Amino acid sequence: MSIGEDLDDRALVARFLGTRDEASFRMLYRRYTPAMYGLALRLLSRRSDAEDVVQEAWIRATERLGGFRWDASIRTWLSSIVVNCCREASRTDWRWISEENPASEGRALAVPALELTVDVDRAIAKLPSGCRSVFVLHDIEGRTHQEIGTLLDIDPGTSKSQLFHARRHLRSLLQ
Amino acid sequence: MSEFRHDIDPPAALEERVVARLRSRGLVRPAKQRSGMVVAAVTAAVMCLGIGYAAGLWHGGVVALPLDTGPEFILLLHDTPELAANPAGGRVEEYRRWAQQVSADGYAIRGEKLKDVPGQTLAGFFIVQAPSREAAEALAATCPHARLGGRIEIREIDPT
Repeated sequence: MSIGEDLDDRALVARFLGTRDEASFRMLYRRYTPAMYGLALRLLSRRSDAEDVVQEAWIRATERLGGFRWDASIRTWLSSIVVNCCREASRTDWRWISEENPASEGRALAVPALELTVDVDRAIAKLPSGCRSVFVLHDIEGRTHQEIGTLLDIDPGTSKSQLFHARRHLRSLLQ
Repeated sequence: MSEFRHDIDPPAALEERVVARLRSRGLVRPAKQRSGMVVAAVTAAVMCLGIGYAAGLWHGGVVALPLDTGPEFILLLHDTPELAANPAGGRVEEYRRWAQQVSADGYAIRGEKLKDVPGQTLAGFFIVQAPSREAAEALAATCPHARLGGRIEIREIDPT
């Protein structure tokens, strides 16, 4: 991220916090929601669930934005909120690859995937929700296992294990 | 794999839903602050609308909508056989609460019930000011008329 882009984000957030006006919020929304929605869609697979998560994530973000200390980019902070909302949304359907459940059952990813990524996106959607989250957060979003452990409330060792299983399963799906 | 981190544009209507939700919670201030007098007038008109509908007439009262706050849309409420199964008296409170909530969310709104004409499906209308057609469609989707099985036709008003 360039310094100029970082200053624009800070200025926009500061303006929104100072006025709480709708125009400032819409600029924030339009800048970050495509990334938030993309992440939610990959973690949950269903459009309606992803939309609900985006809505809930923005409610929490606007409530807490005043306390944001810029120790990470605002995009990273917002994605953390999305991940937490996704966990809550799918709490009853959180499944992991285990030795007892090697075959994954996934929901079809109903998104307008880019032509070059359609196979990968569909394969990711077929992973069980738990290891899919680890894979998306590590290999696509670039999070560390420590960060993933905090976000998903799992041990970093579990994160590494699930990533191993996810990558192995994806290879078999993409062959 | 990070090259597969492509953003996905959300549905256009989602923005209006999110903004409306934040407005209702006081987390975002409406685009145009209306004076207390205008808000009171709209609220009074909506209450008259509900009382008149209960009496079989829908005398909503005329409230001039602000002309400088974006396009206006008319929501034409058509009856359907499914809707006819719901007694009109039972719908009064729902329509009134919905209009009050729309007003509280920052939208100017008025409505009228039309007298029944045999063979005609048009039963009433709302006129609402919204920033875009997508916003008007999102609002219409929340109207009790849609949930109860009625059909809502949306037309943008051509200011003349």
